[in-house]
Amino acid sequence: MKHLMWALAGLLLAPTAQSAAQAAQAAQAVPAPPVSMRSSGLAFLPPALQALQNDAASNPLTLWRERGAVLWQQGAPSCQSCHGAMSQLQAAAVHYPRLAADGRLRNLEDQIIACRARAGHPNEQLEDEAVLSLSAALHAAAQGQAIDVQPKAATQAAWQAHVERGAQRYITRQGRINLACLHCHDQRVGARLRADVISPAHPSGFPIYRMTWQTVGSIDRRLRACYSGVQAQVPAPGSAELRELELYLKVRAQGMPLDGPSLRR
Amino acid sequence: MRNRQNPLARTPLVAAWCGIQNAVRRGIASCQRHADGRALPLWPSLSRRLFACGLLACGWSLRAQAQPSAPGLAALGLPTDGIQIELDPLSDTGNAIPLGLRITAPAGLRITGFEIVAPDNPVPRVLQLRLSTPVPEYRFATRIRLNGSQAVWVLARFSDGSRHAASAATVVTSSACFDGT
Amino acid sequence: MDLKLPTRISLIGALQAGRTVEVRLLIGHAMDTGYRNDDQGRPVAKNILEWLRVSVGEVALFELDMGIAVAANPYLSFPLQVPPQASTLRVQWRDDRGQQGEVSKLLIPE
Repeated sequence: MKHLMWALAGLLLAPTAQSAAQAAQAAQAVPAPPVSMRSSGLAFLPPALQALQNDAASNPLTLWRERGAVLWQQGAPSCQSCHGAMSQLQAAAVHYPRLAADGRLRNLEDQIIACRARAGHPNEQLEDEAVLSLSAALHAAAQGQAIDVQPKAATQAAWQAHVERGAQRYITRQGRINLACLHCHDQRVGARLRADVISPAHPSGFPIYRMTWQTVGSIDRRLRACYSGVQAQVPAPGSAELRELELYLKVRAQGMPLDGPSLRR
Repeated sequence: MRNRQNPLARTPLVAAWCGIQNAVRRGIASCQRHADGRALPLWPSLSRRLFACGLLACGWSLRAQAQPSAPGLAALGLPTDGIQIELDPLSDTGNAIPLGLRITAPAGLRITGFEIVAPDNPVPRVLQLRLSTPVPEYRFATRIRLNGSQAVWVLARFSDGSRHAASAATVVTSSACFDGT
Repeated sequence: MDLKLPTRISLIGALQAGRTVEVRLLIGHAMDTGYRNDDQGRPVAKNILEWLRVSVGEVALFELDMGIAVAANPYLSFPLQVPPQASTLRVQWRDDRGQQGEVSKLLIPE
């Protein structure tokens, strides 16, 4: 018994003392983020990442934006041959997700995949480089435009039902950690989770280059990562549940300017 | 995240492991006996224990010599002047940490190249740059990956074959939620 | 842009002959270390850029050996003395699977 107690004491002592001293010293240097329920996620980034976001010469997102601009003009037919110059699609990204003819919600990446399938690039996935590059370039073209998700008159009831299901998901506890989205993103905005600072989770900055992913990912992937974070069953990419949650988040963020693509921790 | 800056930091863990082993062996020994009722020996024979310790010591020292280590680099005793390292003391992620450096050669010498070393990474050498035309001053910046909090070393090489070395430390933190995507 | 290895070469500073400008090189490469697993739990194979040579025309500036500790989508910033005539900044690369290529940018002094 005595041996076990010494063993446990040793196990507890080793890692805590040294790292506690270092972390305490380093934590003092970090400035507090602005806490506002209508802030973009960009406001919650540390100064170094904000500076990187603003420097196109060193921002990895530049590679996706430029590749998207090249892909827009490539192929026969090219995107440009139907849609014209990308700059003319300034107001396109703000309206997604929208109800497609088959009654399912479609976000911008879904739409890119559907369009490219018709143009000779079938079977593309949400996180493919081509899809994310075009999404990055299209969102960049729409920077500053206000999020504007609206139902069409004919499908208003169905659209409303999707929003309500999304809202219900937002307030429902889930996962082993048993938290709902609102517990962090409405009730604890500004709190720290290790290196992260909790934001209101407005979807204005997608697609994102997330440092943990070391690549660009879509809003679909980021929402799935949230399910993973609370140790809930992660929905498959493209599921209706994820689109409804995205629609609700966009309704909640209605009127906020798009500022993607952007960096995240 | 491991922090191997202090080699003695592991002593409590080693002692704890020995303590657990001892407690388990005593527990097992107290339950078992020889057929004639004699108590079973608690440990293997002394000679076998010494042999095992010797093997472990050889393996450990060989492993330590294979990769540049922080104590090894410090022990080289190279001059630190002429190297400025820009490294944030706190990093949000280990995946992409900005690192800037500025090397000024001593009077009469020129820089022929430099190396960036992260001793606590699985592969400590981050990169090596070799200049085709030696220069008196050089600035460079990149983004590196670090396995955990550690000191990052820059070793500069000069035209007469001499080297200078300097280091800067950073604490590597990470975002909170597990991301299985 | 070469879609096989998207690259962006930016020059910071006025391009006047004899002046030193800063080159910012961004290379779109995943730099997979071989230590990561994908979302199915299978290991992602090691795939890194191992070597770069930066030259102006035929004159080499430097060679760079890189390892797994260079961050994904490598970013390099280094100085460049602007040559007197128009020339090409060339970046030759080679990865650990033997693939190689080159990207370049015209340097036209003001």
